[in-house]
Amino acid sequence: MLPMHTQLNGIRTALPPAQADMPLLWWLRTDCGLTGTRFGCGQAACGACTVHLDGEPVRACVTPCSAAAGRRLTTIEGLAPADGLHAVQRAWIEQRVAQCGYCQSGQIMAAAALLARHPDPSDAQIDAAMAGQLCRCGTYDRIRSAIHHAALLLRQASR
Amino acid sequence: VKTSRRRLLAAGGLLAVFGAGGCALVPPIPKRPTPQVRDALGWLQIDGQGRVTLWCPRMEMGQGIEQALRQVVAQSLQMPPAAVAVRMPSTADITLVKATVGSDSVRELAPLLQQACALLRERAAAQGLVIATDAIAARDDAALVTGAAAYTADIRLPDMLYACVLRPPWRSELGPVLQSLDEAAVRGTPGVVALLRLPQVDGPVIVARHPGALWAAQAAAQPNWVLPKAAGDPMRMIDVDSVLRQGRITKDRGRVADGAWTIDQRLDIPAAAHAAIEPRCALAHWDANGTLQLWCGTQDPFYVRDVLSRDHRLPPERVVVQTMRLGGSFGARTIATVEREAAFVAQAMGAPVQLQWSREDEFHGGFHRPPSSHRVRVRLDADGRISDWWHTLSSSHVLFTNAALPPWMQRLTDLVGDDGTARGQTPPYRIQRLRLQLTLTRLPIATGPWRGLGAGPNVLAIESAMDAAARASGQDPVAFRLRHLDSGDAASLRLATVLQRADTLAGRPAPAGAGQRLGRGVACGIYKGHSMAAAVAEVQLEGPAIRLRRLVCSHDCGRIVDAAGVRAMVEGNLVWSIGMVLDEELTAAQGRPLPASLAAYRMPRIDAMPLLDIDLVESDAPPAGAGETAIVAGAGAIFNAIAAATGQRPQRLPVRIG
Repeated sequence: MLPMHTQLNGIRTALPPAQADMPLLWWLRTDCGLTGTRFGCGQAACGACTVHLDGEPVRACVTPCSAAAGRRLTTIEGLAPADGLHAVQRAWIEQRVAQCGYCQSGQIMAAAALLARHPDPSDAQIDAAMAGQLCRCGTYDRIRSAIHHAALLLRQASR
Repeated sequence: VKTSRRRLLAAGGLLAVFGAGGCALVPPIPKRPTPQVRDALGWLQIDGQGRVTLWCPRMEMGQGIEQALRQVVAQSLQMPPAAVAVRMPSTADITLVKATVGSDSVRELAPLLQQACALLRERAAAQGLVIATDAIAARDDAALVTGAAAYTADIRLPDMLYACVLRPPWRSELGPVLQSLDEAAVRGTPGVVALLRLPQVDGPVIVARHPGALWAAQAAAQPNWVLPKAAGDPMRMIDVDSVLRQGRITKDRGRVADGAWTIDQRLDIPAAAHAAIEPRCALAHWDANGTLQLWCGTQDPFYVRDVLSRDHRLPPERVVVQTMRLGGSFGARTIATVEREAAFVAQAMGAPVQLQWSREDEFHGGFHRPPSSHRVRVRLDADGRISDWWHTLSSSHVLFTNAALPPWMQRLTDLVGDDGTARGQTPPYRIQRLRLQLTLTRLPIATGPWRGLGAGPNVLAIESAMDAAARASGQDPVAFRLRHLDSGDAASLRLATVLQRADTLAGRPAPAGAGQRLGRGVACGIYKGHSMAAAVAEVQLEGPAIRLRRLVCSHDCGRIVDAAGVRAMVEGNLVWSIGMVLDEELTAAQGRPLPASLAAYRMPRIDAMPLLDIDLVESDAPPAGAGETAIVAGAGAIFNAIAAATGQRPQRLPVRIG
């Protein structure tokens, strides 16, 4: 069987041929050394493992490796441009969003996907896009304001 | 006389047992020596270039202790905070320290670190060292937003193996039996290297070369556990009215006068999970010299070290626990669980082993906030002041947790009460006659410390009764509380101040729209005598839907070291307040916790967030904790706002209307 490939953080990468059903999470964390995608529940219930497939947020803990074939797969490690941080990451630091930090890779990936669809989201749009991302420290209020701030940073950059 | 003598003997025996130091199952929050300046000097290092490093003596789990202590060091050494490197220590790097519990870190450590920094500065000057002020430590936040390795599960060792436990849904003490298991399917899963049965681990252990193989083997295993002897329903076992009828009281303090009660109300609060987003994990490695190295996120690395050294009959220095950042904990990781399992499995395999708990393991293998059942009776005198207050609290153990004590020690501790369960039960108000009763019942589920211990539930019961008493006598709930905070002591004054400030800041709610019912609720409380909070909540009801519109909180934890960190702690406590009143419930009708997944265990999400107003009152009291304070005010405020909106006082949590 020919190996399937995915475009992982911009690099053409062979997917594991024998484990096409294995969730992406374990492949990313173990074989690719990309441990920023976190294990939280294994049931797509918390969002800590959120990555992008062709820019859309998906849960790596229930998405089989085969689903990434021929598509762009982006993890938290590949979100930023080579020379710095993504606007969402900058906003997160400025607003000191993270506490324990464990859910934050997933929060940031979900927020970046939201801003790609809605450059200036309302609170209701933020809630709809982020309601599946659990945070037990309770950083939600700062997540909301950081998303608004990131939207501003992106608009300023595109001017 | 007989009972109290028995209690005394039991308590004395307990001290002797714990004082012996030879028992692996010491209480989860063991006594530790109070740290001295010489210990604090050991946490600080200065190298030949004048760069300062702090070994963080408390574990970082999202409460921001690294940043708070970094600020203390930076201020004391007159250097920018970013120039202080902060590292998580191993048990070989620092002397014995206390567990990270009870919102005590800043209060206890800030003065010591200040003294140690003064000494360090003298020594540096004597050696002609200039303290480096260039920013060498990128803020942790930068690492946290780029997915940098930070947690136990991110560590890789050569030839490491991955393991999981097929754990029973009941505690092993109840005697669950594994009736069947598809062993052939487990062993036949590519990548699986062993299926172990270890006497020290609660269920069969699968070991694999890759976590993906574990995932597949777990799905194929189909373990079928049964419980031969039925277990009771915790909520029935603690029913406060049954307890009162039976006269089954563990501790009884004070007395009240006979007569009719102005308020006589019940409140039942279910068990709750910690539900930290990081399921616990440990990596164990026995090196060639027989030293056990263990990486884990724990609230008490020295306790883990001592338990492991006892398990394996090793001197403590042959066990090195390397602490890692915790992805949340909230009291959950105060005992040794996954750490013990990882060490036994690594020993059996002769290879480094990462043992990762599943989400289900967190519900089945961890302990929980015990459920509690309250009856509060209040009598007002002719003047509208409280003359008598009688609070019966029926719950289970927190400090003397059944998750860490063997049954014989549980029986011993059953007679001595539990200050964790009772935390916050004494009202902060001036009351003529006070009777406080506590009944403790051992439950089939494991119970133990959860953010604020008993203070969240107990202060909620108090503040609901205060609210009911004010309304029953036609008094304003804020004025009524202030009347009972007139003793003139510093704590009452500070509590009155935050209460007035929250009330003023909240103002009055905008009028209700058509078909809506609005309610405004207030509550306040003191946590462990040194931090105060008051909150005002506004809820809006539309049919059965409860929407929290606004939450205002004034908070006084003394002098503030790191304002952004304190604010984050207050926000977190308010989110937990929302969860406590509106969402969280762990049931156990058959003796096992349900639900056991984050898909079914309800907790607050971003769309539950109201408009937040947080008011940090900087008093001149010494710096104290913020990690568990605001929950004592937030939950009561939300609860009282719902009671105001519906005109009925709910009798159980989480609140459901309609």
